Amino acid sequence: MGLIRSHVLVCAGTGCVSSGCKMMQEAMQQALERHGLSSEIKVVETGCFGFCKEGPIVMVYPEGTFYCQVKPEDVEELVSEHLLKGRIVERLLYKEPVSERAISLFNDIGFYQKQQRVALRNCGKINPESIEEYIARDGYQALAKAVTQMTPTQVIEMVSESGLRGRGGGGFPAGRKWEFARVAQGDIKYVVCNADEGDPGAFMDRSILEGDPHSVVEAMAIAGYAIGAKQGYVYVRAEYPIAVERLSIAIKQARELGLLGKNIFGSGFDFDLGIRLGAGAFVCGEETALLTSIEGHRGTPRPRPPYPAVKGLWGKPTLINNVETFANIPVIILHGPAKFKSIGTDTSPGTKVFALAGNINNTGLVEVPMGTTLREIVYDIGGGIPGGKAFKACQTGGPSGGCLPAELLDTPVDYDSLTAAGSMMGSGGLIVMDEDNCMVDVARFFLEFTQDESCGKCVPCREGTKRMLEILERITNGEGVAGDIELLEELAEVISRTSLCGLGQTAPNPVLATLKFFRDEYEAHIYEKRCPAGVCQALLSYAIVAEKCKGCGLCKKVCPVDAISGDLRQPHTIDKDKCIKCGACVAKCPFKAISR
Amino acid sequence: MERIKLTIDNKPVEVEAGTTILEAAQKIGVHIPTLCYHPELRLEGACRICVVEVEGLRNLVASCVYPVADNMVVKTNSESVRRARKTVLELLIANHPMDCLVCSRHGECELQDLSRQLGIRQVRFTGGKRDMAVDESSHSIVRDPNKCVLCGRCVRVCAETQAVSAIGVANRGSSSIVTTPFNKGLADGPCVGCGQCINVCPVAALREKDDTERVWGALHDPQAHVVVQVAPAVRAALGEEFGMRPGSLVTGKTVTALRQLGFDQIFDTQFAADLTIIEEGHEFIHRLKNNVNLPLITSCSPGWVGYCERFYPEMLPHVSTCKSPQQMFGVLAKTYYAERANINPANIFSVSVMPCTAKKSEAAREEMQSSGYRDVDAVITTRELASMIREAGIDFANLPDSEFELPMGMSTGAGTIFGVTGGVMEAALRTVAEILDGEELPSLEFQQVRGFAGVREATIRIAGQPVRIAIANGLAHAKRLLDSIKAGEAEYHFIEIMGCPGGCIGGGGQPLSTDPEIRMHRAAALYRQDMLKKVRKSHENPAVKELYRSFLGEPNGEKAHQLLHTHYQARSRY
Amino acid sequence: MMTVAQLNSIRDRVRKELLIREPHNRLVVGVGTVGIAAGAREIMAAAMEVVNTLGLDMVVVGEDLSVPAEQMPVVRFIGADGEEITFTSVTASKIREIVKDLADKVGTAENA
Ligand SMILES: Cc1cc2nc3c(=O)[nH]c(=O)nc-3n(C[C@H](O)[C@H](O)[C@H](O)COP(=O)(O)O)c2cc1C
Ligand code: SF4
Ligand code: SF4
Ligand code: SF4
Repeated sequence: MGLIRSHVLVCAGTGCVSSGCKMMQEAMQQALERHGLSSEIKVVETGCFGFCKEGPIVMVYPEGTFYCQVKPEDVEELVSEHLLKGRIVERLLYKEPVSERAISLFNDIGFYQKQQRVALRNCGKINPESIEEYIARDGYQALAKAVTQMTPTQVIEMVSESGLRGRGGGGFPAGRKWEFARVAQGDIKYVVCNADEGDPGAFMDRSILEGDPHSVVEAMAIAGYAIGAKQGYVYVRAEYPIAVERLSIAIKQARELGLLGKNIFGSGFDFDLGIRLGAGAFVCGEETALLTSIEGHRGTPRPRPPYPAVKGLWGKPTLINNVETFANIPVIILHGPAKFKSIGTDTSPGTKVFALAGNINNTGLVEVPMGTTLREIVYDIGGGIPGGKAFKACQTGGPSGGCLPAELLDTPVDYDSLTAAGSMMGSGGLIVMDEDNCMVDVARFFLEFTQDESCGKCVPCREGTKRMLEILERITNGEGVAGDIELLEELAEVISRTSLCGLGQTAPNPVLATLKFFRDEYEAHIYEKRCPAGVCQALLSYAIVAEKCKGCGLCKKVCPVDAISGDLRQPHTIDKDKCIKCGACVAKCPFKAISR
Repeated sequence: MERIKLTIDNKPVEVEAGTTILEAAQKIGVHIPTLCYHPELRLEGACRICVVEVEGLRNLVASCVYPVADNMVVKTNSESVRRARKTVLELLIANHPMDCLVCSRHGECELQDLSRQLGIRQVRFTGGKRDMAVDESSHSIVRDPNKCVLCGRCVRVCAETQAVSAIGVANRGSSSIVTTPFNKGLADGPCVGCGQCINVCPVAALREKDDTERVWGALHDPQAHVVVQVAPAVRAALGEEFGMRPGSLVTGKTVTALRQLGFDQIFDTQFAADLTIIEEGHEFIHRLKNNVNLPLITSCSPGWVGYCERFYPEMLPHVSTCKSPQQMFGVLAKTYYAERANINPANIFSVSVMPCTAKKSEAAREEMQSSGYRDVDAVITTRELASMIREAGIDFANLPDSEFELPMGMSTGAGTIFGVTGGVMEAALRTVAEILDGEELPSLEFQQVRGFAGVREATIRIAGQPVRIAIANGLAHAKRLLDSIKAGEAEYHFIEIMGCPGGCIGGGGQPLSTDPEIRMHRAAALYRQDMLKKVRKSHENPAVKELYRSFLGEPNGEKAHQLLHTHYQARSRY
Repeated sequence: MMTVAQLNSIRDRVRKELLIREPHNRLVVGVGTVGIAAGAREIMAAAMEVVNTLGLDMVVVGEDLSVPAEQMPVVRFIGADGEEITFTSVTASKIREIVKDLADKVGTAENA
């Protein structure tokens, strides 16, 4: 036929690559050849669709059919049925968690319905390795507008007017930062993009770089024009090889077309970009540590002030923004601040991308208008808690954020509301916990992370988080003593008020937040030697409730250490000295007769 | 410069913009405790002991790095500051061995001082402590990571002042340690043993290799004939260990103390310094006349020699082949002195008292056995001598003076000023100029070479010819000088390099202090001593003349070469 | 160096290709086993050719439309506004006319 009638988009983000999209894609090419369709159907690699739990994902256009978990062996059917005969392959469609209803159209899926994609506007829609596809979606128009029609001050005014706040965690107004960098004295200035993304659950920055790298390239060039910088660096963690590759391709393509380099759009403005790889320490995402690392030293934070905007990379004024922050810039410049502000709340305009994880049906990346409530995210987008369990808390703000309980589910997600509620926005991690999560254990888990990632430079963070963790370990081991909670609180206060950088200043948050909302769980561990959620091994004591036990003997068979005895059809008992608390019996008992 | 007005603890203060809160507080006598802060090093802001409250800020700020601002209201002793400071210190102490009673820094420890000052009475954290191997690989320095408070002062001094970077922070979080590249022994890395890190370490995590027991052993051994030499810089600093004013000259008391400790012969390294000038002066004249291997660079500082071997091996041909005074003395003690006193050199135990830790490594070099024995058996630092004096219960400050023994205790003022940066150059010029000019110098003070600037240069006319000289002290400055020579930006005939800031008076074995003012007092003491000396030119030292006449023969002659000169080798840094 | 005009021309060219991913007007050809037997693939090819030649803002989609076998091959136009028109017993030559007739309704991709 020769004319392309269909595009098959295959997600090639990190999530899908790891779930086998490469093999599937090859199988797809072969099947198309076999059916003589390769000249009319084009297979396009795209960035992440966000719905990584369901990957590899295949979208068939123009129908817009959304297929999930497509394996190489599914491909033949997909090609011969859908692409040849136009019949949708039901079994590969997404099924709603509760209704089990199969949904074929992307936009009908609950996961996508409440989302509004600004930063992720091109992710999953275009081939990230094609600058032309980016240009087709108005790419580089904002840069053209900025350098040919606007003064640097006008650009900054527009960013200020949009109310855009930093998406990397701090929420600092982007326009103000740009202005600081613009007025800072210095012949040489730099623009730096923070793509370190150290928050373990978050992957929105990676997805943007993988799915729409040009949006960052374009935005950095605009920033360079606005502050008077000719050189930018993107600091990406080395564990993101696909992002690095796509970004390198994007930079190369932009240079080839003259969108980076000398005299961009004939305006006399020069700008170029380089990539710097980070070794993946969490603290290297902290802006001063990041700059130190780019300079070739061990990535440890430096005291502020001076702020990077005044004295940054190699002592020169440096603007540093997060990937997602930058991804919003072209939209603001092109469509104006009013349009941007029409989304979100007054103090937090625009959208925010969250990485949904934990005990929730739909995990993945979601972009919602600021002000959307946690409840909408957890239930409408996330599809609720699996297995009919009760929601207990959700952690926002990553390892140094806080846990909000069910009573606060109607909190709107924006910088100020989350902070007021006792948590924070952070980089957009959102982990859902259900009734089976022990909040003391959760706090211990997060503190273990931060204490492990502390750079060790300053005493309160290095030594203090270690002691806090020790206390939490004691409590979860059943060795908590009176006074532990107060000592935790005192340490938390000192650490957060005296640490050198944000890591230490926020490290105690998970403990403070769980103490605020779940203090009774701490008390149960310390004073009653009991873990209400049944998580902390040392505090569990397995016993058979005689009234419920029917004497079926299944538990006895499954116990690996023969700790259970009893005659058939008689209540059984557990020998506590022998029991190793493995939980095998609980799982086996059909009558839920075993308590812990 | 813009002036800034603020109040600290309700006291108004006006300072220049860019001043830190700590500096502003010092100006009005408000004392803020510090730990990682060091006035001579890059600011770190790491230990958080110096936190203060600034009105309007949620968090406490580190006063050592926080710049003042107009109308700032600072509180250095509010309730939250006190509590935070104490908790931070308590945390630091909780991960410390707390074996103060048996610690080499007992009574001279900043951690103890802070604990006392802040009134720490309990440590509530009972969890794990570090348990790491002590590094005793070096002849000069012992590293005990268990005591380290991770202030990073050593790392900074080694990198910034010494341009060596033998140590750095490794690992993250609570596993952070100060260690060597690849975690090897200090001896197997680039460390030159200068001991500057010891001088800045607030605790005993870095200390000199303790050789006092070996010296005591020799003193108690009836078979051993124990001779001792005392380096010039020791006499300008030892008094500080006994509460005397910095700059007190304690030459006579030192001799008396050594005698009381039981040394058999008490000699002066300055004798060997004079000898060094004769040898090195002739070497210089030879190179100058034949225009070979210029510039000539001095070799008395083992920190510098070790640095050159590791970092600038291509410059080694320029380094004088003369041994350092310590080693010249060592070989002569077991040959010349043994012969004259008719003592079997095998029974001689030769001790040197040095301001320097690198001297310990120098004495242990394999080639330093020209006498047929190890030329110098034990090197102790000024601090170690002080500890021996204390242990012996000697009331040092009130000792009477006494004199060095002859002949190797006789020295000139030229030998004395070896202890301060520029001194070797000045001593050499006094001799070289007189030899080449053939007439007596009108004035002996070469003011051009004095001072404390890191690198100094001058042109001196000798025998009508301009001689370009340069002086560097501290290895980072030496590096700067060498790099400019390598880049062809500068040319010299003669260079003096001392490994430590200020020269030997600022050596790594001196009483603990890196205060530049104290270094100046010590230098002034040496210049004073020089003025007081009857003979101030090395070539006029009668004991040295006698040495040549009766034992060595010609300067730079065959025997001199065999005993007093050495060679160097490029060494790998890792 | 790239000019703004050059940038715009790339945008306009590639935007047309990408219409497939965000179609406004769709021409659905009943494929499926019966449809293919009745010549649906030839009809699709013909439809696409005309759409392409005229540069229309319309995509051609194959779908398994359920209509009685005697009406096959079937083609359904679905406009951007939701309007639906069904054409039955279509042939390759008929479809050319149908598409030409729809041209005014859908407009060109140029102005999409
Ligand atoms: C411990 C720590 C880790 C951080 N990690 C990141 C990160 O991975 N990515 C990021 O963009 N910002 C991170 N930040 C925030 C940055 O310091 C900085 O505020 C941000 O890059 C500024 O960009 P923005 O204003 O666009 O958010 C981190 C901060 C701290 C204290
Ligand atoms: S707060 Fe923690 S991560 Fe930050 S500088 Fe201090 S030790 Fe390093
Ligand atoms: S002795 Fe000198 S070179 Fe060695 S680690 Fe200490 S400061 Fe560095
Ligand atoms: S060894 Fe001493 S100077 Fe070095 S970091 Fe440790 S405590 Fe500080």
